[in-house]
Amino acid sequence: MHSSLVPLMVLAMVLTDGSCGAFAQAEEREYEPDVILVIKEKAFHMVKGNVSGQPSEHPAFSLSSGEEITLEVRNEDTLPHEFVSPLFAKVEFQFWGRATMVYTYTANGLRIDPGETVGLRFDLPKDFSGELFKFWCNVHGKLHGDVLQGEIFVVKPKHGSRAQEAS
Amino acid sequence: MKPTDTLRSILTFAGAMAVIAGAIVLAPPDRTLAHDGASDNHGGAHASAKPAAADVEIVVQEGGHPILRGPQTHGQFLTLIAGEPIVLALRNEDHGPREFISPLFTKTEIHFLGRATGIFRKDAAGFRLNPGDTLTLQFTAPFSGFRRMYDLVWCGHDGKPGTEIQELLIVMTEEK
Repeated sequence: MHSSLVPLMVLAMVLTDGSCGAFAQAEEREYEPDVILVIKEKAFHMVKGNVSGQPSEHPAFSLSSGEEITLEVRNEDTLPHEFVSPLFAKVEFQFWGRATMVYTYTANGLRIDPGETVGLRFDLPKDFSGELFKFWCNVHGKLHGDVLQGEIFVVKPKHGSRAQEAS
Repeated sequence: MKPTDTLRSILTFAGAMAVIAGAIVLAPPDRTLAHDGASDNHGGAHASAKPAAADVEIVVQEGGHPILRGPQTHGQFLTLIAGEPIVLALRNEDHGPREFISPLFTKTEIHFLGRATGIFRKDAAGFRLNPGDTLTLQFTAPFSGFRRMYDLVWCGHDGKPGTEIQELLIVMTEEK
């Protein structure tokens, strides 16, 4: 008899915890990311951002040069994954959350444990317009053909964008 | 099933749910806790998880020398044991941004919790902290192949090379 109640209780726990988590996240986030990347099933998924118009096999998004960018990366996979890019060897980035620094000669970034979310904020110089920066996970996306990689296209800011308004 | 059995099972379920609900309210997950180390303007999305208790603290205050706190410290000197984990908290109590840069941070994996700007140089790496921010670093002191290895930590001001002697800390990593 009691065993029949166990699934119900587990479901109730999941629902209760899930609703608390969602509420806490909505309360906690005091910034609005321009781009949200979710790592799930060993792949990057862009949840928010401007989809790049360029053909690409991997998730690709565009960022406007001359703007301050806020990017959020969530690891919803069961393994730690990295988010590294040569872009972060060229620009300083602020980060917040819990992660591990990844520091190489050509690309920098963060390793994020399962369940963690990190924020990154950086300024994209105006002269980066037209450049393409790859990003990947060193563990699972470095080899050709691996899926854990993506591309960032830097484009000129559109009229009415933050960079245009600032200038 | 007797009606008393049904009633008992309902009561058992209700009791279990009350315990679960109480546990959730009393012990929220780490991520929903206060914004440790988050600066005023940005709040902390997930800079909110509780950091591990620091073994050593490096605190910079207005116009003063960096202060080392912890049992492994001696003045401007910090001693680490190669292969042993250490939790190091960096705290900026100055009015402007301060940097903590060291070759040590390139020799081992650095896990962090908090908010900072990453500084990556050829032979050194570090962090720039805004006023009021704290960054907790967790790492294993690296082996160098020498009995004692000395590294410097520059606690400079934003944009200025931290070469003033009073802004330097010395980290000695011993192999046992």
